[in-house]
Amino acid sequence: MSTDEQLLQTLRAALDRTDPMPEAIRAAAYAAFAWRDIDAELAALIADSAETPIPAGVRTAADHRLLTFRAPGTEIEIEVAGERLRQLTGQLVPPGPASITVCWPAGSLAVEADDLGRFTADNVPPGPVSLQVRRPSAARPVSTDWVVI
Amino acid sequence: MTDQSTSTLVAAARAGSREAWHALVDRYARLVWAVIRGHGIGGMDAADISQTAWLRLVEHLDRLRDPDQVGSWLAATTRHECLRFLNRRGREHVTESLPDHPSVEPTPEEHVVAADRDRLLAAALAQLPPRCRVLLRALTSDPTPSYAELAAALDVPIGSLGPTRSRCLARLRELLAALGHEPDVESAGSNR
Repeated sequence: MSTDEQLLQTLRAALDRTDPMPEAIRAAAYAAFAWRDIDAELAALIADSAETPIPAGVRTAADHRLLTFRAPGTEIEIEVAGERLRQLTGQLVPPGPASITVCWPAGSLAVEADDLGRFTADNVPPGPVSLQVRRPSAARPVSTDWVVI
Repeated sequence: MTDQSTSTLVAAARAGSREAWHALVDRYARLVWAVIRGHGIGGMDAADISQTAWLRLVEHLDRLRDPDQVGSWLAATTRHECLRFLNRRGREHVTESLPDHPSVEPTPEEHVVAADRDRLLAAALAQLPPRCRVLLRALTSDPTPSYAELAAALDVPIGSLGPTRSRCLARLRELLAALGHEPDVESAGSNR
């Protein structure tokens, strides 16, 4: 009978051989530092419809996901749709125009929110995204928490 | 930089040091990865969750209440992202996905037994409850996480880790025995 330590050691060796962390994972983590932006105000994710487990077999709820981010004085609501490329439909609260950049690790897309604070962004690749919102009246841009869509 | 304290690395990264950031990644990337794989997530989904955890840390670097606990913060953030992903998939019972890049190199005769043992261990690990998979994967990550980091990865009190670890390893032994395997004999040839 081996000790727990020996069994863990055997497991460690097996996982090192069969399921090591790909180097691309480390490289992507290194690269994340390039996104550091000390000017932006953080809009934290405060609600995600994906937090609620979806019963097996129910598909409609999974097709539209609602995300809400909040920074002091601003909320950003986003609906995510699309099977492959995503379509984002957003609403700023309080409503008003803004320049919005949808960022993902390999690129970005600039869109405008109208006077009612509505915006859409098409063909966003699935994966991590963050939105940068710049209202004409605000001193600082707002960046949302990164979230996987 | 690798022997610096975690809070020193966080302070240097806050000041813009890429070297310090890389040292933080080297210290915690495997813990983040272990939590994701322990939840049975692989492929692009695993890559997305890992990168999201690190991107979040970049954003939150200046807001961390306790820079020494950045490992726990990462473990908890990663766990949360895994649960969010699994909920979105509506998959309540997820079995561990296979490694992305299983070893395909030709196996010399003396490695056959080791490869068999690896497969059996992987099969047994996949049958463990998620909590055990996360704990055992985290325990075998490099460097070995602190108790606080393990507790954050599982969202359990530190005091429960010891008993949980014993239970999970006992269960792993049972599964290996059921698979007809003597788990802890390292010498080739004595298997079966």
